[in-house]
Amino acid sequence: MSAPKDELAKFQSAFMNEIYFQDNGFHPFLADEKYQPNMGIYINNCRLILGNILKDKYPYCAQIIGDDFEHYSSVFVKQYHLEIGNVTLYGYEFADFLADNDFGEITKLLSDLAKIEWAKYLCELAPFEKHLDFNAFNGEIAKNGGQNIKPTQSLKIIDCQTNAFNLFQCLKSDCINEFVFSEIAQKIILWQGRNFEISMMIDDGVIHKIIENMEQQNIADAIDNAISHVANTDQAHINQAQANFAYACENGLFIGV
Amino acid sequence: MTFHKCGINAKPSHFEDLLHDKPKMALLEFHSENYFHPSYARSFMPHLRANYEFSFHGVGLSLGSADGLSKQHLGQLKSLFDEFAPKLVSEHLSFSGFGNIFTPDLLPFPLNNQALENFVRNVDTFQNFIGRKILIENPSLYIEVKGNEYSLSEFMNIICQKTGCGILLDVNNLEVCRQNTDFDPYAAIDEIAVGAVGEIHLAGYEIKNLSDGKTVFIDTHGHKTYPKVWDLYSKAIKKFGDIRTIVEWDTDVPPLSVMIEETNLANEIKQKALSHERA
Repeated sequence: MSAPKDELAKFQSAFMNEIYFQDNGFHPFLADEKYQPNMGIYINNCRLILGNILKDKYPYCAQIIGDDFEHYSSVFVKQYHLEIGNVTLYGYEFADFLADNDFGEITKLLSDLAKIEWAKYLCELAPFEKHLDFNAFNGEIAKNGGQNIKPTQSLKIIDCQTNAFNLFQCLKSDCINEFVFSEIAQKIILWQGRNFEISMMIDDGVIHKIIENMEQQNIADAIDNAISHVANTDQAHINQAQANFAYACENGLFIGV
Repeated sequence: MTFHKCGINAKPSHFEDLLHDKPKMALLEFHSENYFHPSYARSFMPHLRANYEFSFHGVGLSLGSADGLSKQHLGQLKSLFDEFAPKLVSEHLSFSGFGNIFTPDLLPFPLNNQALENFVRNVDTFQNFIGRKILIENPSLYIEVKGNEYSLSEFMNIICQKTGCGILLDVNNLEVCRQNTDFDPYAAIDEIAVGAVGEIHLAGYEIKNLSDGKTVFIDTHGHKTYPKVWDLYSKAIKKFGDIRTIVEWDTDVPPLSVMIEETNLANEIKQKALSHERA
């Protein structure tokens, strides 16, 4: 950051530097040195709030890293500042950050898991961006013998035009019994939860299964294969495929063979 | 006696109960930035709006920034306001970032002429952009900075005069300031212009012991409202009248029933204060 010229800008620049770098440059702006210890509140607020945001977005990484997660999240916060006044998309670099740190033999797997968790987080935002013609879907589903979807019910959609379809075929899971599936002619897979609430459901069993499989190198390979499969398409498609993959993992959404 | 029933800053964990139980409240408040993006929580908003007036409370615009306001952030706020037509819109007398470095916190700045001119300019920009009046909230302080030329209330009164905005008086923040700095919350309420206050916030703080043996009060919004804050609320109602009030709870958020208990207590205190005012 270049040095600001006016006093208010200097004040604000020094405050932000103190929060992220603790360079003691802000102390001259304090009315009394008795307030110096209280600067720790602003520093800790930033570290803890952003650290908790990371923990919320990467709960399984946090679980695996354990007590050291707080240390690593602090290092991350120093390295990756919040750049806007909104934390919704803060933390997307966490997979790269983990890959750059040494967690021994699980480093790559941890980084892959972070990618899945980020995609899962995005998927919690993404389904509501879709505007659906429920009547058309209902007609199509009924024709194919599936259940009708009521507009008031939660609905999630995976578009199989993306290569997420291939991802699903790589991954077989037996964690699907609680859900109802339909596949219709346009290669759209529908998953209908039992009620409105279910769309926020995070299936711990599925994630644990992924982690287990990662330890055996299977799922990580599957992810790599799948990503390379879509590598010749544009970034938006890759992102969509990754997002759909994580989304499917989260909800136990796998097509039948 | 009829008066505006206290509302809550609603969290997604409350939404289903709010839709089902429909407790009477003058307002439901939301942190604006949490609803910029489509989400499961946001999908409840139109249903809630059918039953309640809304208040959108911003926490990330950084209204005091010396380098101006983010056009993208302003645009996202405007979209939200246009969609849900809230009764009230508010932000803070603070800054959260400079350049491209932000913190998820509300930082103070010196209450001097330069900061006043800057803040007035930013409030004008904000209000012109969204085409409506905003309220600005007094922040919690953990430090005092050099160079104050105005008291908090003087500073806020002048901003209101120059921009036409109003004040969101957070009485919990007044108490936090008293505990952490040389600040007199009763004098602050006395100094605020009658007619300027458009909303009041209630919340609970956390008391923390530092390693040097000192105690600090932190504005965590993670506790029931403390008696000293209720006293300030009563004083504020006696002075400013039937002001719409919101109970905030941001950490360790309790179920709706606990929030409702707090609003019931606020309603009792408000009713008593209003009776006193009219006697």
